[in-house]
Amino acid sequence: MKRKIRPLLRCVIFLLILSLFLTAATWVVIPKRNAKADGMHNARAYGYLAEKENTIDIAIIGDSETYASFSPMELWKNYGYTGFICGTSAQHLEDTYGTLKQFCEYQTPKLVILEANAMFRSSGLYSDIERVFFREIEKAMPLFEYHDRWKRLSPQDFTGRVEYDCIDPLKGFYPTYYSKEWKGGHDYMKKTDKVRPIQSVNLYYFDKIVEFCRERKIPLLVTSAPAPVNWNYQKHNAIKRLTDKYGLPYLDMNFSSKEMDIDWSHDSRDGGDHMNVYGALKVTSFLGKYLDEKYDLPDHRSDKKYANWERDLKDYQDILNRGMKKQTSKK
Amino acid sequence: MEKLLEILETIQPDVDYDTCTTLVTDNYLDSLAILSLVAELEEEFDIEIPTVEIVPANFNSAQSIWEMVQRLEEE
Amino acid sequence: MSYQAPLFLLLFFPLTLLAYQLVPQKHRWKILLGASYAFFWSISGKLLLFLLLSTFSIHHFGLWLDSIRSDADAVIRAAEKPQRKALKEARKHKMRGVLALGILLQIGTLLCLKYANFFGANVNLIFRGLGMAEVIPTFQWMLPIGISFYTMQAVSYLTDVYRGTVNADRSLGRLALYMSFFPQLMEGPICRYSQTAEALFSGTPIRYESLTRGLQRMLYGLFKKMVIADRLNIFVNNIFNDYHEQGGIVILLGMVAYTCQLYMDFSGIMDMVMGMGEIFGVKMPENFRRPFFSKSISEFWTRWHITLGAWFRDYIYYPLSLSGPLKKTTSACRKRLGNHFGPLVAGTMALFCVWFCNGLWHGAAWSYLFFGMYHFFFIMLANLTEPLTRKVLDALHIRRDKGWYRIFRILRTCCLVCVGELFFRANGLKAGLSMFRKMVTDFSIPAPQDLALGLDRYDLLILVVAVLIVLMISILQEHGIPLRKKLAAVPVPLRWSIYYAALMAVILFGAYGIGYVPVEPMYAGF
Repeated sequence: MKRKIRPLLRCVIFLLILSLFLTAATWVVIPKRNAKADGMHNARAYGYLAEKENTIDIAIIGDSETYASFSPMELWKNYGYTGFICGTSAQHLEDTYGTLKQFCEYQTPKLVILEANAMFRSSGLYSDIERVFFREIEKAMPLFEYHDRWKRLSPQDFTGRVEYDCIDPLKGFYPTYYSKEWKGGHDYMKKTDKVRPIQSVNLYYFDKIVEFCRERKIPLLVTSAPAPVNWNYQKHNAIKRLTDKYGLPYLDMNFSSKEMDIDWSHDSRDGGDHMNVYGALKVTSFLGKYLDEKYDLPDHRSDKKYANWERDLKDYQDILNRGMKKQTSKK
Repeated sequence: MEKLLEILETIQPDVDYDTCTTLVTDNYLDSLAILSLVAELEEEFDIEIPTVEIVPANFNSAQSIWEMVQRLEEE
Repeated sequence: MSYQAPLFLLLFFPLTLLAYQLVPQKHRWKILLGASYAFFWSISGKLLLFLLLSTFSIHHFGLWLDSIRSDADAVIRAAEKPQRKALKEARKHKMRGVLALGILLQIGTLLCLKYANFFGANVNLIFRGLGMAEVIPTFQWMLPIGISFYTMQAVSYLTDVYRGTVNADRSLGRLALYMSFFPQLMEGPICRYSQTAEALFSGTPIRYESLTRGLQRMLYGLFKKMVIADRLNIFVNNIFNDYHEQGGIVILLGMVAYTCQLYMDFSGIMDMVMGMGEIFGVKMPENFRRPFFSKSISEFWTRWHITLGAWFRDYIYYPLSLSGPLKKTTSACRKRLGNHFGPLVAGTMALFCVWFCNGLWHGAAWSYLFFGMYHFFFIMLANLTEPLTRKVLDALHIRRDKGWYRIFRILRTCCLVCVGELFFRANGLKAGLSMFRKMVTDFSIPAPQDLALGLDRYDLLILVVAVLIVLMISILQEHGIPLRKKLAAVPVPLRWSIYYAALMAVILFGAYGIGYVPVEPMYAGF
């Protein structure tokens, strides 16, 4: 018996010491500031970390369509809503869910808006499982996500002091100022009864997102931003069917590009894949009207606690004006 | 055995065949030398050496080559 | 799933180990077989059918060969002595036919799946050249993973049964496991039936020693693959994909970097494979023996991808060069041309076939054929000039295996190998030739920023240190120092520190995750 136990004991001790090393290394490499310069991945989507706790009412989650199509500051300007975009480029749904969970550790949103484009991102069931598995490990032990940060360690990393102090006046929005025409016009949604299948890993995480919101009693709005390259009627049918099943509201803005007055020769940055800043303003104004009609979200504009949002609005407008001017002068 | 040593000497003169037991492993006999050797042995001893026999174990020393030749002669 | 994937290392492999250890010994092979097919399925899905068909086919053909032999043996034994020879001939003839059919099925499948498009495209090219319409369609086929490797194993099994060096296997399960064992499925080593089948089937229990030794070797492999090979990937890709933009010296660096990457990748995966085998009590043949210490190209091929070279030697080179007509040629030439040049005719012809096949084995493209011919050329050249070299060296009193001349030979071999790998990696033969031309004509000194190409100074530091570590280990091994035995004798705190250092190096300095493109094991595509 003793013979069998000794090797086992050795293994356990070895693993214990190893976990000590891993914990220590994690503690050192994890980013201490929410800035790209500090090596934080997708820092733009983590700007909410620098906001005051429990001040953001709308969380917008999804892939690049989110930060290209919506500008939270417009909602602030017109309605006094506080929103933030946590979308990252080419996001997979397990990350959409993960971001939402993380977001709710700091904030208590009164509305979650899920942009549905990521629902169709899949590289096949097997690859999805392989990726999700590694993501779960990365989340449990950020060392695996941030191992490369040893290249830019600073003394602060060894004190462990965390300072999330980089306030983003754009609130996660990513404006682009150049245009590339989409030549298909407004009628790209060709009616069909066909339904695009959704990969089971995505269905699983969609269910988790819905469940998470239900538990916290946060209303969930599913939406599709206008993007003729990415969107079509088959996808619409798939999301429509899914949201009906869960009894969720679904706002597909791809039917409303005319109503929004989108100029497809000017308002897209890459031929209908994403909006540029001009398109985003139109889409956000449409969204604002919809939210105003359907939801009862608080207007914080006169609240002293939110004074910094007024300051940020100024910065935001400066940034946009500068960007637009630069682009016109280039022409 | 005498004859065998004679053949070996003509093919690769730089080796002490009485002691060396790594003729193939240490590359004293390369694949070309093996080709020569097999052709020569078949003619000299009137045997047929099938490809199965061309393994290092059979060619690593003069002794093992000789054993193989004798075995094949009996068949 | 590849061997360095977290899903494999942290879930699939541990679960397989656990299941293997928990079931009774005689059922363990089923766990291995199940795991192997699951592994295959995870990469190639339904193409598993091809592996199954190959396995059924060699099982059947093996038994067929065996029954011909035993039937004929009974008749021969009963026959009068004078008739025996004729009967033996008849037996041989029949078995040969069956063997040929069996091999044809294996090689035929491989040819159809892997080479049809290449031959088709080139036939079309000829047709177009003659002004005719293109006749052969292109197929969109997926290759089953490891087909180049398991086909070689299948052919070697059939041939060994035919030669009588192994008995045909009645157990379909054992044969199936020999064909599909998951650690070697993707990149080899190409094993012989006599080397692994028994051990795989026996269900050797996992012991503490075998487990730790196996994990130790896997860790070393992981270090080579993730810290060095994968980190070089960006650099190498940048140079080979945009070779037009690069100067000669940058291309030279890219060539050396690629050779290093290929070695670290392939031999690293091999270390992992051997380590996994060790845990299950399976000793597979080594595939590498520090090839960059070789003194000649032909020696290089006995130390690099050893099992492939050995396969070609045993199943193509000797059978061809010792076949009836070529053997006669050797005898005849020897009398006229002497010891050295005598066997050269037969040897060279067989060698040509070997290198033709070797080139094609790596892939259906002209650049791979060129790669084969390149090595054929240098081996032949060395054979032809051997007497002259010997005379010159004797006259100058230089000993070829000692001192600076030995180092010169090692460096020369490395250079030749590197240039070969340049053509091997280049995007097509045309690109290879133009890169080579640039390398030998353009000596402009590149600006430092042109040299970065995706690597920063930290990356360089890691690379240099890691390569030095591997080099040091290799030099010690080259001097016959049993490092693993020594490590086992070292006191626990020091030994564990080494393991921790290696583990943390892989985790911290491995090139994986955000900012890196995952690199599939390079030889899995061949």
